[in-house]
Parts: sequence; structure tokens; C-alpha cells
Amino acid sequence: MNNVRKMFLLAAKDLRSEARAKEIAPPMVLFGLILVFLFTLDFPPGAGRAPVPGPVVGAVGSRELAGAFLWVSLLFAGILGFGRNASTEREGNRIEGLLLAPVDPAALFAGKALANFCYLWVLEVILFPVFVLFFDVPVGLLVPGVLLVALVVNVGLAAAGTLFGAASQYVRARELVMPLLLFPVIIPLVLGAERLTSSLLTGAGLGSQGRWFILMGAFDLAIVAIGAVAFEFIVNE
Amino acid sequence: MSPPTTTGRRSGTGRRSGTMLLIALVAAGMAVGILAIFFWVPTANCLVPGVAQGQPCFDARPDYVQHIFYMHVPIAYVAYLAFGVVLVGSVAYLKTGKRRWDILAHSSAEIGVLFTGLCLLSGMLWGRPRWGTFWTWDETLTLTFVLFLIYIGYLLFRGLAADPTRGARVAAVIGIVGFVDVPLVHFSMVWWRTLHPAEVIINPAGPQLPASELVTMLFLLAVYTGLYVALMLLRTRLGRAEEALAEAEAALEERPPPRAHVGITP
Amino acid sequence: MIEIRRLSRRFGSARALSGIDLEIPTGETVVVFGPNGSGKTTLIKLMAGLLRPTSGEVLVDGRPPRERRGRLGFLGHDLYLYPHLSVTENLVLFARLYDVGPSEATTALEAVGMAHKRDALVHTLSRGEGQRVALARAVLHDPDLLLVDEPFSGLDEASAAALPALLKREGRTLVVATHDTERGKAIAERIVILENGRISAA
Repeated sequence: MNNVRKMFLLAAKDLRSEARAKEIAPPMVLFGLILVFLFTLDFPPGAGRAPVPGPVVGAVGSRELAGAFLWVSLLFAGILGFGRNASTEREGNRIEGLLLAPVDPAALFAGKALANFCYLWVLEVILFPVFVLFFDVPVGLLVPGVLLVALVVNVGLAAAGTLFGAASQYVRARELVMPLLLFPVIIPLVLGAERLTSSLLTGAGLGSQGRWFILMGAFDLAIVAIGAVAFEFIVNE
Repeated sequence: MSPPTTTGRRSGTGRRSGTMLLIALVAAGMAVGILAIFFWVPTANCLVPGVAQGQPCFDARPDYVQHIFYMHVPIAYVAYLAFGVVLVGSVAYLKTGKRRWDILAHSSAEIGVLFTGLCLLSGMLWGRPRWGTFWTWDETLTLTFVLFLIYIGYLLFRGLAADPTRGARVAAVIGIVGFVDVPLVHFSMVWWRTLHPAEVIINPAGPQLPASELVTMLFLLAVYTGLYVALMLLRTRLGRAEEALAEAEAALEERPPPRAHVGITP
Repeated sequence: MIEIRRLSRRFGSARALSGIDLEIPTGETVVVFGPNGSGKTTLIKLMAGLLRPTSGEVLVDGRPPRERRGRLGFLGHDLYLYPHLSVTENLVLFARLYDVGPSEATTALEAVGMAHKRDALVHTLSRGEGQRVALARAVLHDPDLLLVDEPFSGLDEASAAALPALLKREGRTLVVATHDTERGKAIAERIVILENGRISAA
């Protein structure tokens, strides 16, 4: 069986296990919802439908700000999931069982990242409607553009989260280290996601934002490539 | 018993005098550069592409704030260089496992963080009179600050790892991933109209500066690169000494303790 | 054939193994004795490729163990089983990762006498039951080299008595680390004694 099929096998193993244990996705989603709620508290009603100010640097309308809150909530909730997903291999040293098997470490990485990728979609499927509801944003502006943005973000975020999730298993202060390492690295994706969402919410659409897609796409490619190669150096003794 | 000797080191005195010479050259170059800034480059120039040399653009007063530009840009480029060296050292360390590459990467990361910090600081000093604010979260500044954080994370991580070898290896991965931000910082200046001035040297349309400014800038770039090399020589020497010390301590530990002879032959 | 030359392994400043030289011909059963802390587990893990030497080398049929993963089996203190998957799901996963048919999982499961628990989730098993499933996991791909660390600990009489038959196979090189002298001697064709990270007798 080649390594691509082994990758799917490993992702399926993670997802099937989680479907029974429910230790990763529910806390992730709950945390994400709490964050979205917290952010909404400061918003006046109808803020999502408020008229948007002109394109002046520094003046940000509440609708544009709303997009930032969505992605920040996603990021924090995602980090929770990445850490828990990584710790399933750390407990009982199960990662050694996988390292002993004739599987390419890149496939181990990809399988884990694929599972994380799925967890992110689960998170988004729940957070996006909640976001639309609580920020009172016109759905037609967001969908389907935001799904494309989510796709580009999820690939890079899952890859980086898998890499740093694994790295954080081997240090003291585990919960501190992951955000410390992951946040700065992932900022280009978050920044791009916020700019693109802002563009969507102000009605400008994604057509003019080709540069951001190129940047984020290149970033994703780089992170996935580095992750696939570097993963074994992190998990091997 | 003689302690284990370190092998493969070139004569200490020769290296030391070479480093001293370099430091002297850097100091001299810095002095020359500062003189050039104040006395050679026309003071009323500003950073708008296409403005002819000697034409004032903000006001008629001598533009001392603009001088920071001649420091800020070389510092930024040397920071990129430093992180590039971290990349090379990290990749080499992962491939070969030889400690000297890890020491190279670690040293360069420390110096890179220093230079990035200076870059941010000099930018802030320039920004306050120019924009009225020390800081803004535009793409370039944000990504540069992020660069700063990434490599601080690199340095912090090494201290937190339970096992030093694994810590060094994960740090190497951070060093590789972190470098992805460097081209992003550069392109943010080329692609987007942000508050931070556009990239005028490594620009698709060619360097946008008048000749005397360009020459001064490149000269200072050489000076700061020399400073980087000098700091690297000092820091890597320190790193190798620490490594030799750790190895000597380990060698001492594994020798079985000497048995006390109480005078009666068994 | 396993060749170990001037093998040393250090953890920080602590030396677990120093200057180990050992040759194990194919098909031999070697038992490594030694008190706790003598380096038995470290040696076994180095032979499996789970650890890398600080100096010296380990070769399995002329290559480092990590290049022989498909032909190598390891059973140690950790079970390497996923608690929320069933016994069968775990074993079929490993069968597929080792490029053997899922039927091998069933065969191995029956051999260790756990077929009646095939659909039980691993976290519901007792320690002894888990160890038996772990053994099935270690041998289901019929390895040429089987490395085992303390297999007898925690097993009851009956299971311990049945163990050698499950570990041994004609043509298989078997290396067992244990401090159970009686059982170890019973299965050994050769004995190696470790003390403070060095071989004191072989």
C-alpha cells in the first residue's frame, strides 16, 4: 500500500477515534463559540449592517472588524484542537508504534494534518453561521467567498498546527509553547484572511485580491513542504 | 591526567587578531558613513521615487530625520541575511547532526533578533516625526514584528526543551519555517501601498534612488554586514567554547571514580 | 544478522551504554539480562531504531534498523494501541501499515487467545489483555527480527508459559531483555549480561 493511502488510513484512524472519544472537536467548538460570544458583547446591535466608511487608512468600520474576530476565534480554538490531537500520539508513546512501521514520516505528518484540516472545517461549519447571526452580517456577502478563504487558511493552519503541535509535546509548559510558536508564523494567513473577509463584507468581493491569494497559497505550499520534510526530525528521538 | 583536548581548532591568536581588524574596519566604516550622511548627501532629499536630487519635498529645513533611512535599511537587510544564515545552519544541522551548524544557526538567530529589534526601533524613530505615530499595523510593520517574534520564539524554545538535542532539532525546524516570513516582508513593500514607504532598492523597476544616496546606502550596507560577521565570529567562538566545556564535563562524568587505596595491597 | 560495534548512548550527561560490541547471527535467540538501569531497554530500542547511537553503530543485515522497518517487530513497555479503537481496528491498522493482509490480524489475534475480544475497545481491556493484543500487533507481520523488552512482567503463569511459543519462530532472530532469570534462561540460546551500560558477560 503506498504512502498516500497510508496517509488516508492514519487520518481515518484519528477521526474514527475522535468520533468515539469526543475529546478534541467538542472542546474546540465550545471554545470557539465562547470567543465569538465574548467578541459580540461589545458590538452594538445591527453593527453588521451598518454603512461602511470610505477606504481611509486607519478608519475601520465595525463590519470589517467583525471579520477579524471570526478568524482570531478560529485560530485560538484551532490551537486547542491541534494540541489535543498531537497529545493522542504522545500518550503511551504511540508515535513510536507508527515510527516503527514502514511508513514515510511525511505520510505520518500528512495524515495528522489531514485530520486537523477536518477539525478546522467542523469548527467553521459551526462558527460561520453563529458569526452571521451574532454580527448580523448579510449572508450573501460572505458565502461562497469565505469558503474559499477558509480553504486557503485551513491548509496552512492545519500544517503548521500539526508541526508545532508535535513540537510542543516535548517541552515543559506545553500549552504555552504552542501558541508562542504558532501565532507569529501563521500571522500572514490570518492577516490575509482578515483582509479578504473585510473585502467581502464591504461588498468589494475577492476579484481584486489576487495578490493575497498568491501570497497565502505560496505560504501554504511552503509550510506543507517544510512540514512533510521536517516532521520526522521533531518526532524521532 | 590531562583534560581532553579540543581538536580541529585553528590557532587562537590568528583568529583573534583577524576579528579585531574587522571590528576596527567596521568602526572606521561607520564613522565614514556617518560623515557621508551629514556632509555628502544633500540633506533635503526625501524618499519619493522620481524626485530630482536636491529638491526639497517636505519642507525647506535640513531633513535630519531622513538620515535614519541610511541606517534602517542596511540593518533590515542584514537581519534578512542573519535569518538566511539561520536557515542554512538549520538545514545543515538536520542533515548532518553536527553541532557546529546548530551553533551557527543559534548565533545568527541571536544577532538577527538584535538587528530586527534595531530595525523596528530605528523605524519608530523615523516614524514619529514623519507620520506622527511610532507604530501602525500595516502589512510591512506587522510582518516585521512577526519576524521578531518568530525568532524570539526560536531562542526561547531552546531553553524550554526537556532534552537539549531535541530542543536543538525543533529549533532548527522553527528556523526553517520562520524564514518563510522574510520574502513576505519584502513583498509587502513592493506589492501594497501601505504607510511604510515602498521598497526603493530591490524593486522590479530598478533602484529608485539618486546616485549619492544609493552609494551611501550600499556603503553602510557593507559596514553593517561587516558588523554582522564580526559579531558572528565572536558569538560562534563562544558557542564552540560552551560546547567544548559540556563535552569535557561529560567525559569527566563517565570515567569511573578512582578507588581509594588504603595502604594494604589486596 | 545484527552487528553492534562500539555502541554508546548518552542521555544528556548520563551514559546509558558504553562500548557495546555484539554480533547476533540470524535465527538465534539471545536473552539480555541485567538489573534495572543497566541499559537493557536502551539497547533494545537502539536495535529497533527508536533511538540513535551517540557513537558506534547498529546494523541489521548491513543496514541501519530504520531501513529494515518492515521486517522488524518490537514489543516494549508501551502497547502502542489506540484506546478508542477496537482490538480488530487497531490490528488491521497495523497490518495495513506493515503491508500485510487484514487476515494476518485475525490470525495473530487468535494465536494470542484474544479473539473473543475482537470488537472490544482497547481502553476496556485489562493490563494483561492489552499486553496480549500488543504482542499480536508486534508479530502480525511475521518479522524476521523480533525485539522484546520485559515481556514476562505483569503476566500470569499461564500467559507467561505460553509466551515463548508465540515469540519464537524458525529462522527468526529473537532478542529478549528481561530480569526474570528463570524464564529467560529457559528460552535462551545465548545470554548477554549488562551491567552499568557495559557487557560483563556474553
